[in-house]
Amino acid sequence: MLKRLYKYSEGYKRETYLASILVVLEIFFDVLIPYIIARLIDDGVTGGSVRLVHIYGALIIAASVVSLVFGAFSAKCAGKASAGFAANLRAAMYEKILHFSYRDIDEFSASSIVTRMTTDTNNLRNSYLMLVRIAFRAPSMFIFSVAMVIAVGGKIVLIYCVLIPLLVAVVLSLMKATREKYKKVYAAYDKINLKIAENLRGIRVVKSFAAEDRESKKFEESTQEVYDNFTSAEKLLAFSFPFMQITVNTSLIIISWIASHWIVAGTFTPGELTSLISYSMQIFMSARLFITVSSSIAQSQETARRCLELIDHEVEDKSNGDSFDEKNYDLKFDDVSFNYFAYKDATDSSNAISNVSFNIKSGETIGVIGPTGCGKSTLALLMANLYEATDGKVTLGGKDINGISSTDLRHNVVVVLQQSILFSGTVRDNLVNGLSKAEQGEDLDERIKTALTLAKAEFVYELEGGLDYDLSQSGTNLSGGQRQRICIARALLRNPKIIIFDDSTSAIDAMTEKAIRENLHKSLPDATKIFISQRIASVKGCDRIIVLDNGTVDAIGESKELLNTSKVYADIYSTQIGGAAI
Amino acid sequence: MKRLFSYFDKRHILRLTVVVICITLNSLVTVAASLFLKALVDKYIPAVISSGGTDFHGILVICIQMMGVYLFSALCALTYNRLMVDISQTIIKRVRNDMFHHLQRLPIKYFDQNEYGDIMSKFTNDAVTLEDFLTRTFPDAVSFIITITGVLITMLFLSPLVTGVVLLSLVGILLSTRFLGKKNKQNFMRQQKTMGALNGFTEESVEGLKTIKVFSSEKENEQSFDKLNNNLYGTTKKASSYANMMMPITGNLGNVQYALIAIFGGVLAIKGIGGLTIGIIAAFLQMNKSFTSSISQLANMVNAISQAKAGMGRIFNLLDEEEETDEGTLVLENPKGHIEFKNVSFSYVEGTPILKEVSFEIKPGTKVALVGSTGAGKTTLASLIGRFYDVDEGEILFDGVNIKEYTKESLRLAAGVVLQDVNLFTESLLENIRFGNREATDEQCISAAKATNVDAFATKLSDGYATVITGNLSGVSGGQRQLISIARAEVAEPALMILDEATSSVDTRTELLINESLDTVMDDRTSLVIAHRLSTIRNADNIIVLENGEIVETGNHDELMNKKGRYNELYTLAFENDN
Repeated sequence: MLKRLYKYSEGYKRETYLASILVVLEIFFDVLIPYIIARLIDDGVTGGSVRLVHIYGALIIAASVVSLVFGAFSAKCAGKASAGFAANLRAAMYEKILHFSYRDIDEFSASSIVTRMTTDTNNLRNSYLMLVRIAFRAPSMFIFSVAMVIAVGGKIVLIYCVLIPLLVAVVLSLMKATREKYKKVYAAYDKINLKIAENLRGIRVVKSFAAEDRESKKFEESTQEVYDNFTSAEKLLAFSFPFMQITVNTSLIIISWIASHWIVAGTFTPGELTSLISYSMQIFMSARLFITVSSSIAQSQETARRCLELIDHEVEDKSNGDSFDEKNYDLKFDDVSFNYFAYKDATDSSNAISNVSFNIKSGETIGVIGPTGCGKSTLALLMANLYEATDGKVTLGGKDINGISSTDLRHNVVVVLQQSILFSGTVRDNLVNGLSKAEQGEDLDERIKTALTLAKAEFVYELEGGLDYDLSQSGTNLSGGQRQRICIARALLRNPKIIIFDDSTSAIDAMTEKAIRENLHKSLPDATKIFISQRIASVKGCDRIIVLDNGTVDAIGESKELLNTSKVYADIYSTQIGGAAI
Repeated sequence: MKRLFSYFDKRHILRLTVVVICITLNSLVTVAASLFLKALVDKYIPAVISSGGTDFHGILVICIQMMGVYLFSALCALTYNRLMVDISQTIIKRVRNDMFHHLQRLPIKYFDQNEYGDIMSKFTNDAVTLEDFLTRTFPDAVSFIITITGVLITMLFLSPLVTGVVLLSLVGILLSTRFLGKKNKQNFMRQQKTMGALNGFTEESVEGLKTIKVFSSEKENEQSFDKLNNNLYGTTKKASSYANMMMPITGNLGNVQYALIAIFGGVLAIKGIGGLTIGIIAAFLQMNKSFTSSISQLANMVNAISQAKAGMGRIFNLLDEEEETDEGTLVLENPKGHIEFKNVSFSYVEGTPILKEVSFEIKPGTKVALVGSTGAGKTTLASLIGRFYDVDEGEILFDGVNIKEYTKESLRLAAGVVLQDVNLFTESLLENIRFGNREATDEQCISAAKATNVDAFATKLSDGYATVITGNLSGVSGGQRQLISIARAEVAEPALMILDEATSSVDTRTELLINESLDTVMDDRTSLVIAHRLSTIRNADNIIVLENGEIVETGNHDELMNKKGRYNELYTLAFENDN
C-alpha cells in the first residue's frame, strides 16, 4: 500500500528524500550538544580554563545554528513534498470520478466520495508529513543518543535494553486495550450527531407530537454511552503518562547511583553525568515519539485503503465507440431488465424494471406514466445509457447502445433529470459547459437566447449581469422553478435528437409547463420527445403512452385506447381527472 | 468562564481541588530532580571522596528518597489524570444534554432564523473545543504555571545572576517564536480558505456528477478543479513549511540558551563569583529545558483558551435563547376538533402580512380543503393552529376556547400534523410509528400501519417492522416514507388531522389508497387538507381558496366550479383537456 501511495509523490521525490536526510543531519548536530556541555563542565569549569569554556560554548552555539538550518530546510522540503503529494492524490481521484459511470457513483455514494477527497486526503497528507519528518527523526535521535551513551557511559546502556522495551510494551498494550472502547466512543458520537441532525430537521414533527422529553431522554442515553466508554478508556490510558515518568526517572536514579561510584573511583566526571542524563531524556523522548507516530500511521492505513480503492476502481472508457448515425434514431428496448444492486453480492435481487420491450420511432412524442417506484426514472436513465441494462438489449438506430461512443451519445440523447442541478459559476457557464468550441459556434449568444425563450427562462436577462449572473453553490440563489427552467434550456441548447424529461417540471406551474411543451413541438419538430411524469395532463397529448407498473410495461398506446386497455392508466386517470371525463 | 463553574457540583469542586494539588506536586518534581543532582554533585559525592571512597550509605539513602519522590509524583499524576477525565466528561455530558434539552424547547422561529449548519456546529465544534479545554488545556496550564513558578524560585535561590541570563535569552526566544507564530496563523488561515473553496467545489461536483455526465462537461470541471487544487497546494506548502519550522527553531534556540547558561555559569564558577558550583550549573541546565518549554507552551495556549472562550460563548448563547413560552393552563380533554378562525392576521416580518383577517370555521367531523397558489399562506395558516407561531391579531378557537388558554402539549396532541417534508428518525419502523403516541401498543401501531397501507410493504422488508429506517439505505422509498409519517399521525389519534400537502410525493395510485384509508379513519374526525392536487380535495366538505393571505372563495367543488371564479381557473389550468 505504501508503495502504491508513493507513486503520488511524483514530482516531489527530491524534496521527500531531502527532507528525510536533512532531518537526520539536524538530529546529529542536536545530539552532539550534551557531549560538548560535558566537556565544557569538565575541561572548562573543573579545569578552570575560561578559554575552553568560551570555545566549547561557541561550539554549542555553532552546532545549534547548523542544526537549526538543516531543520528549517527539512521542514520546508517536507511541507512542499506533502502538499504536492496531497495535490497529486486529489487530482488522481478527481480525474477518476469524472470517468465514473452512474453505477460507480451509486456504489461509492456521493458523500463517501467527498469524504475521501477532502478529509481522508488531508489526513494522508499529515501522515506523509509525519512519515517524512518524524519517522526519521525518532529513530535517528534514538540511535545517536544510544551511541553517545555507549561512548560516554559504556555498559550503562544496558539499562535501556530493559526499560525501553518495557515502556513500549506497556504503552502499546494500553493503547490496544482502549482501542475498542474508543471505537465505541466514536460510534456513540455519530449517534449523537445523527440525533441532533434529525431533530433539527424534524423539529416540527417533534413539537407536533410533543415528543421533546422522549427525544431528550434518548439523547441522554447516547451522551451517557460516550461518557461511560470515554472515561473507562481514558482512565486506563491515564496509566501511561505516570508509567513513562517512572521509567525515565528510574533510569536517572540508576545512572546517578552507578555514576557516583565511577566519579568516586575517578573514572567519570560530573559533566559526563549531566550529559548522560540529557541523553537518557532524549532516548525516552524518541521512544515516545515513535509510539505516537506508529499508532497514527497505523490509523492512516484504513484511510489510505479508502483513497486507493477509489483510484483503483475500474471504469470503462466508451469514448472510442462507434459513431452515431444521425438519420435513424429509433430507440428500441428488447426484453430489458435492470437491477441497481447487481454490482454487489446481490442481497437485494429485485429488479427495478423487468422484461421491458418497446420501440420508439424517430421523431415520436412519447409519454411514460406509472406509480412511484414503477421504474419510470430507471427507464429514462437506461434510454440515455447512463446505466447499462442488466439483461436484454437497448438499441439506438439499430446499433447496440453500449457500443456507441459516449461523446456522440451524450450530444444526441439528453435527459433533463428530476433534480435540477446547477453549479456555481455564471448562468452562461452552466448552459455552455460541455460544448466544444465547434459546437458553441459563432452565434452562441443568439442560440442561448432562443433556448432560454423556449424554456420560458427569459427571467435570466433580468438578473444582475444577465447571462453572467453568478450562481452560488448548487445554484441555491435561484428558486426551484427557475433552476428547472435553466436546466431545460441547457438541454435544448444541445439541439438533441432525443430529449427526455424525467419529471422535470414539478416546480413549474401548469400554465408555464404547457407553454414550454408547445414551444418544444414547434422548435424541435424532428426530435424524439419523451415525457416521464405522474401527471396525466403531462402525457395525455403524446403520440403514444407507455404505462409502467411494478417495473413492467402494463400497456402502450394512445390515451383514449389506454382507458379501456389499461386498468392502471384508467385508475390514475380517474383519480386525477375524475370519473366525469370517462 | 464563570458560568462553566455552575456545572460543577460540590463533589466536583472537591475533586478539582485534589486535581490542582496533585498537579502542583507532580510539577514540582522537576525542581526536586535538579536539586537532587546538585546535592549529589556538590555534597554527597565529595563527601564519599573525602571519607576515603568506601561509604556510599549517604548516596544510597538520597537515591532511595528520590525514588520515593518519583513514585509519589507518578501517583499524583495518575490521580489527577483519572479525576480530570471524570470531571471533564461529566461536565461535557451535562452541557451537551442541556443544549439538546434546551434546543428542543426553542420556538420554531429560532429554527427558521438560524442556519442549520451553525446550530449543528455548536454541538460538534464548540462542544469539542470545550472538551479539549477541560481535558487538556486546563490541567496543562496549571502544570505549566506551577513548573514556571517553582523553577523560577529555585533558580533565583540558586543563582540570581544566571537566572538573569535565562530570563533575558527567554525574551529573545519568545519574540522570535511570536513572529513565527503570527506568520503561521496567517498561512494557516489562507490554507483553510483555499481548502474550503476546494471542498465546496468537490462537494458540488460530486453531488452533481450525474448531471456533469449528461452534459459531458468533464473537461471544464477538471480545469476548475486543477486551478483550485493548485491554489491549495501553494497555501498548504507554505503553511506546512512554517508550521514544521517551529520545532527545529524553538528547539535550537533553546540549545543556544543552554550554551549561554553554560558559558556564563562556567565563567562565574571559575572566577568564584556568586558561589556558583558545578552542581548548580548542572541543576540549571536540567531545569532550563522544562522552564523554556513550559513558557512557550503556555504562550501558545493563549490561542486555545480564547478559542474555548469563544466556543463557550456560542454554547451559552444557545442556552440563553428564550424557550418557547407556554402560558396556557387548560388541558384540552376529549377534543372534538371544532376550529374557528376569527379575523386572524399574521406576519413573520412586520409590514409584510402573510394572513389578513382570515375567518372561517371547521365543523367537527368535516373535511376542509385549503387551496391556493404557492405563497398564499396555506402552510402558515396550518402552523398557527398548533401555536408554532402566535397570531398577531384576531383569535383561533379550538372547541370554542381560544387556543392560547390550552397547554401547548395538549393542543398539539389534539391536532395531528402530516408535513410536506417527511422527517423520520433512525429507529425501527415500528418505533417511528410509535413516535406519534408513546403509549401505543405494538398492536395499535400495526393496526395504524394497516390502515395507512404501511403494512403491505413493511411485511415485505427483510426485518419487517424492526427494519431500521436510515437515510437511503433501508430500502424504503420516498412514497413509503410518506406513508409511515401518515401512520405516525394516525396512531396519535388526533381530533383534528392537518395534512400539509401530505401526499405531494406519493404517486396518484398510492394517494388514492391513502385517501381511502384516511376517509375511513376520518369518519368522526375533523380534518384540514392543504394540497396542490385538486383531485384529492374534490370530495372535501368545504374548500377555502386562499390568495395573498386572504380568503377569496369558499364552498364545495360543484359550487365553486359553477361560480367560475378563481377555483374554476385553477382547476381547469391543472386538468385542461389538450384536445
